[in-house]
Amino acid sequence: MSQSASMTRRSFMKAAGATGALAAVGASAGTLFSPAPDAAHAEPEDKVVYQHCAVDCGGQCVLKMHIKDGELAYVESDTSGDSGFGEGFQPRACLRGRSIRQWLNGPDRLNYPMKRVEGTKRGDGQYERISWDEAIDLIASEFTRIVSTYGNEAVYCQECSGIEQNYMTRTPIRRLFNLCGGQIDRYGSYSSASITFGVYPYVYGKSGWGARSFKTLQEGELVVMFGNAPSDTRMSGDGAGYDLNVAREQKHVRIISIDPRRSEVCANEGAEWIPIKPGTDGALVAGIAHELIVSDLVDLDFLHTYCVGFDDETLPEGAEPNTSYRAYVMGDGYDHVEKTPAWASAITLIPEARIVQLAHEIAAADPCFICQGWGPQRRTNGDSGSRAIMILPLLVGQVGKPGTNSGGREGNNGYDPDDLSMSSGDNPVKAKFPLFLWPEVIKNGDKLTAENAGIQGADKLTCGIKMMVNFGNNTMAGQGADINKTTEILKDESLCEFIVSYDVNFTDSCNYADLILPDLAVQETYSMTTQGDCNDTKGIWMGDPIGEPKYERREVYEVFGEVAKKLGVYDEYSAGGLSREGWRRKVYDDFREKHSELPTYDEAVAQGAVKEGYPADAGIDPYFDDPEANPLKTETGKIQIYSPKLAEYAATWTLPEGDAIYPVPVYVPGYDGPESATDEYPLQLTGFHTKGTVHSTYACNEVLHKMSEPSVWINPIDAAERSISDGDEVAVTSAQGELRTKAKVTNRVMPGVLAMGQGYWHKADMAGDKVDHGGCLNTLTSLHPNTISKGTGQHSVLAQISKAGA
Amino acid sequence: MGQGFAEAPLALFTTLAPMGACAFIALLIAQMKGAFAEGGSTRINRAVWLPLVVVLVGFCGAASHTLTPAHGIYAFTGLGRSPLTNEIAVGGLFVVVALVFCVLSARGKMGDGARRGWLVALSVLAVAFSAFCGLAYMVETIPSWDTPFTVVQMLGYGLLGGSALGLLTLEVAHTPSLEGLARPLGVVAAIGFVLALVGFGGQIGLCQTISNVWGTAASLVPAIWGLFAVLAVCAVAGVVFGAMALKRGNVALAVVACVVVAVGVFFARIGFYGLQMSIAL
Amino acid sequence: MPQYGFHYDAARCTGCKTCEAACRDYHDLPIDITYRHVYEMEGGSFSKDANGCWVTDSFTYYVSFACQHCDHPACTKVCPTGAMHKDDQGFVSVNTERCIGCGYCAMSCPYNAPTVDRSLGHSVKCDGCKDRVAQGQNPICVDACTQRAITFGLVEDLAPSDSRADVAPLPDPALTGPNLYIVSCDAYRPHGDSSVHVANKPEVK
Ligand SMILES: Nc1nc2c(c(=O)[nH]1)N[C@H]1C(S)=C(S)[C@@H](COP(=O)(O)OP(=O)(O)OC[C@H]3O[C@@H](n4cnc5c(=O)[nH]c(N)nc54)[C@H](O)[C@@H]3O)O[C@H]1N2
Ligand SMILES: Nc1nc2c(c(=O)[nH]1)N[C@H]1C(S)=C(S)[C@@H](COP(=O)(O)OP(=O)(O)OC[C@H]3O[C@@H](n4cnc5c(=O)[nH]c(N)nc54)[C@H](O)[C@@H]3O)O[C@H]1N2
Ligand code: SF4
Ligand code: SF4
Ligand code: SF4
Ligand code: SF4
Ligand code: SF4
Ligand SMILES: [Mo]
Repeated sequence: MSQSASMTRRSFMKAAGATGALAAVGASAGTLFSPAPDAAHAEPEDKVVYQHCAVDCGGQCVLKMHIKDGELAYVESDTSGDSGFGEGFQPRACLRGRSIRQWLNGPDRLNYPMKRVEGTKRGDGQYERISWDEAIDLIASEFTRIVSTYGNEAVYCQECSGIEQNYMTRTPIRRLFNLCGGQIDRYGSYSSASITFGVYPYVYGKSGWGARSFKTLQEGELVVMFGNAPSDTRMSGDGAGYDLNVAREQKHVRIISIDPRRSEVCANEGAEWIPIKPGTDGALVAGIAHELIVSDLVDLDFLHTYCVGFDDETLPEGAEPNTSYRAYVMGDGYDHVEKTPAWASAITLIPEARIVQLAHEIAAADPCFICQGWGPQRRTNGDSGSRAIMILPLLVGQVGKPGTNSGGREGNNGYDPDDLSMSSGDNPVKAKFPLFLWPEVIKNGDKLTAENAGIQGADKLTCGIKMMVNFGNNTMAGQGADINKTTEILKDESLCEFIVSYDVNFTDSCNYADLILPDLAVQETYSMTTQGDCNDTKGIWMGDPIGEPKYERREVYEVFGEVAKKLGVYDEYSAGGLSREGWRRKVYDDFREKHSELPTYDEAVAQGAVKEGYPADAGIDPYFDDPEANPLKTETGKIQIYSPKLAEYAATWTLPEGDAIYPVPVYVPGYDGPESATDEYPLQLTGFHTKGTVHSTYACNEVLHKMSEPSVWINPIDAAERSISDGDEVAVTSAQGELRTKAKVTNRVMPGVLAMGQGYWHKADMAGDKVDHGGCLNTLTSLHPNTISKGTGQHSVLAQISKAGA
Repeated sequence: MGQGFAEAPLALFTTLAPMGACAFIALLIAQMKGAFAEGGSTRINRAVWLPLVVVLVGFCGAASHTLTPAHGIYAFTGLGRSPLTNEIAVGGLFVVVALVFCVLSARGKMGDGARRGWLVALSVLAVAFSAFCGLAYMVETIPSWDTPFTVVQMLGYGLLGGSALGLLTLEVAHTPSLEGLARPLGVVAAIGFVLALVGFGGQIGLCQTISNVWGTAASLVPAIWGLFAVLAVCAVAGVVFGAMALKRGNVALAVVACVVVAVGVFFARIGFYGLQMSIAL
Repeated sequence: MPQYGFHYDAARCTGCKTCEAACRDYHDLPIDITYRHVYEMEGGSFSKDANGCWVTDSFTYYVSFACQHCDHPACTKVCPTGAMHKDDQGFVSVNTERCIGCGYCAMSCPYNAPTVDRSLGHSVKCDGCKDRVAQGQNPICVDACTQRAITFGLVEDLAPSDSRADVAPLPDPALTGPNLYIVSCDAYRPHGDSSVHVANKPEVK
């Protein structure tokens, strides 16, 4: 490599001298920031436009887009700065960002505004081209009509994961609605509602509290991961998957992955895999706790100093006796069953000896880094399972010191993307609903309350959603749960009266819209974002349009500016006539006031990628210095293994049958959970975030299918029972529906469990058999939320599988 | 039949070209038995075009297998290195020699000695060409082909097919006293028959034991023994029809003999190409 | 003669296929053709213990590779036209002006590197991104690797202590002398090991 590295340097000088623009890039590199991405790769006739991949994968990788003859020829990513393993950072794009050319030029792109053909029903898929003027008129008039009939609470702009982080995602829409009296809002996300709203607040009082990145791992330590697959879900060259790889190689850390499937971290030289029956993490933790308790390995000092509710001694005031976690584990309270490793073993299907050993490994490790992804919480019992995992490190005092984590997801990020965003203004409407319940809000909005549906900001909603704008999401017939049931709700035009889909691609969700608008992709307009969810990195990526807009695609700020003009609020909307690029300058300059280390706006634009490596944040919360003086934001001010608030919810909330809330993380199997299998649906089906796509966004890119075939994973034991061979076309069914996909017969998934990558497009004859041929997991998932957060329980699915046509 | 049918043009080539070439062996035998004596000679002098045409049709098949035959001229640069070039070179040499022979023969200007000389040369070239048709596939990294059986079966197909086609040629030429040829021609055909079945059967047997990460070579063509059976039945039928044609001096029967042998060999070749398995990927 | 080669750290590879994607994009490959392959290999199985719990000895590993620009290429040996040739930098590539599309190179290469592109009428394969290399750049796959698992350079600079690629499903390196040097990983099994199978057939075949 010495050869090619030195050659790179030589030709860098040459190239930088040869082309004016690129030379300027080289010159603008500050000392604080690593030099601009190497210009050597630019051939003289190329134009290189900086952009980034803007999807919701946590990556936000830099894309250097090579333009030839006005067309995107190929992309490169960031290789600037130190490319050594573990030093510096490079937001290198993954296979999906690298395949963006096919996606940007794909056959599914929307080109013109379209209106549902008069006389057809939602779902019929009949659309006719209209002019932008007509489209803008329609939005303005429907907004006015619906607000005057039902009030602003009837208007909703759906979550946007399609462009998760940017200075302008769906913000222009929300800004406009806020200027016109407001809109109903949601809280939580499909991603992490349960851990964020059903776990963290009750344990640490704040989401993400105490999280440390893999960059802080110490020599030789043990990492225990529950349902965390960073090499699948944090794939960028500066993502957590890379960090963990670095730590494994350089710090010799040992990694254990507890997961129903062998994720990519357990391939090659990665982690040890302990297969666990999905949804049983709470039982596993209880079994480990039992072993720790009887072996006298719990850190009582830590538990008594910093936590409440481990044992009856530290129960908060007002708590019933024998309601501590210890009482639950030792059989002194709750169900009066001792949670021995043998008990846990029967539930989790992990051998008893391995559970015992795991307990001793965890107790012996110092430090021990315990973390979880969002797999365990994406279930109907997600709140309790995820909370159980979160208290495991507390039992052994492995929180709040170097090399530890708080039991949630690892990491933190540098610049807050919310600080680098156009403002959406103040929303006069205060009520919020849990995102996952949006179909329920459409159907039964006025019946939803704080107690039965977790409504926040108000005791209850006054009406359902009557106007819904979907910008950058495919939730209606793709990413939301139970497509068959959801689309029935959407088809009823007396419920939601006006639906807009504003997307870059014609997804199946568009078929439920009254108006379809063609957006420019982020790469086709002005963009700006931060480093993404990559840990201990700071970066700002600037993006300029890679070419002229094609067809009649138009970006959202300008379009909703036209609507704002109709509604008479354009001046406020545009902050006095700012263009999209003007906003970028304004947002950046405002941000730079607080971050004087940054280059000027013009320099940043010329540089394309502005990044700063800095030492990993290994700081310890002041709470550990003096818990009395620095209380947490929990009800007791302490870390809560027992939550008084949850005790209160348990007493006051109305819950669906089978759901339960306990003040300590009791194992509950949950709706369609690990203990509900039937003869008809004997298998547990679990989804995962696959390398083959980011949700539905890149799922239409054929070249990605070729590299990561959409399929359902099935263990050879289950496959043999059904005469299913690798590559067979199979039918997968649940109480919710049926889909077709290919079988991947593999030991990467444990027996009794099917695993499917999520994101593939729904393709079904909805007037006929409703069988999905696209391999879209949400054909099979249910709308049953998890208990406390009312977040998604999408991966609690019971299913059956057979050879298609057999 | 595995991927074999994708190589149908090549199968056609390796069926027809050696068959046509080896037909000249039958002509040599006829020459030695005096069949080219005055009277029959004008017809026979023209009939010698028939096997050459068959060879050329085979070569057309080969050319149609390549995607850019226009670059074919470069195919001679691999001489000595590329087994494929060697095959083409020997085949090419054969065609040139045969062409000259046929032209001279058609002009009726060839003396007995000269004709015998040409036919000996053509016979040697025909056998060599058949062997090279096999050698072309003996590639180190393709263990399912890299066996002497590959050459043996090609020799067999050449000799068997050549006997049938040679017989037909002689019949078309109304060559008198064919009975005298029965014995020597029968011996050549018998050798061809044995080599063909031993060669192909031996290769199939070997392929049961050769495997890579995708499975055994034999499993690439699930019906491989069926193809062997087709070859065997066609070969037997060819010999029977040939013998009958010889006995009755019946052209139609000779045509049938040629066709059944060619069909049998063709299917065996399809099977052969299907058996192509890399040592690794 | 200089000889370039790849160095692949299997312990780092996560099977993400970014290398393959970058190559496909840069060389604008049709969807059915790839120059770089990432094989997913699997071995072992699951069994039930006395208490009905699951135990497994299964394992998974990835192998990413393209053309090895071999010391003794199988492909050039068989090529009738000399279109498949090894140049003075050690790169093995196709001279499209000579290729007849006969497919012999594809059949003979034990790494399945060349493919005949029927629409182009000739064979295509990894050329080591030699145009980029000539300009002092890395092959695009190397710069793309999210885990920095692949490096590229003159073989004398590529950690010569690491052995030449000896891992299933690749062939015995003695066969062609591949210029692929590998840092092995725990899960790897040597060439010819019949206890592993390809787990992502549709993605590589
Ligand atoms: N490749 C890729 N990366 C992505 C995305 C993508 O679509 N594709 N999406 C991004 C987004 S928006 C998000 S929110 C994140 C999601 O990130 P995560 O939610 O962490 O990802 P998942 O794949 O859903 O789950 C992680 C792991 O949990 C396992 N798991 C499932 N159920 C259980 C259980 O009950 N117990 C245990 N112990 N493990 C379980 C799964 O098998 C999986 O391996 O990923 C982001 N990154
Ligand atoms: N069963 C199951 N379902 C799940 C999950 C799961 O794990 N299992 N994961 C859930 C999670 S964590 C999430 S975050 C959600 C994500 O689900 P969604 O919020 O629907 O996000 P995406 O699928 O990424 O799709 C977004 C849409 O944005 C569009 N888009 C992309 N770029 C642009 C752009 O520049 N402009 C516009 N206007 N549109 C654009 C894409 O074409 C796509 O149609 O899915 C959830 N659904
Ligand atoms: S999908 Fe994520 S990791 Fe991949 S290029 Fe895009 S932002 Fe980066
Ligand atoms: S890997 Fe295959 S194509 Fe490449 S040089 Fe070696 S034999 Fe030839
Ligand atoms: S396909 Fe082209 S490069 Fe390959 S062996 Fe034939 S002529 Fe040579
Ligand atoms: S060296 Fe170039 S052509 Fe070869 S695999 Fe890598 S990117 Fe593709
Ligand atoms: S890009 Fe790197 S880590 Fe990913 S598959 Fe290729 S070699 Fe492995
Ligand atoms: Mo998400």
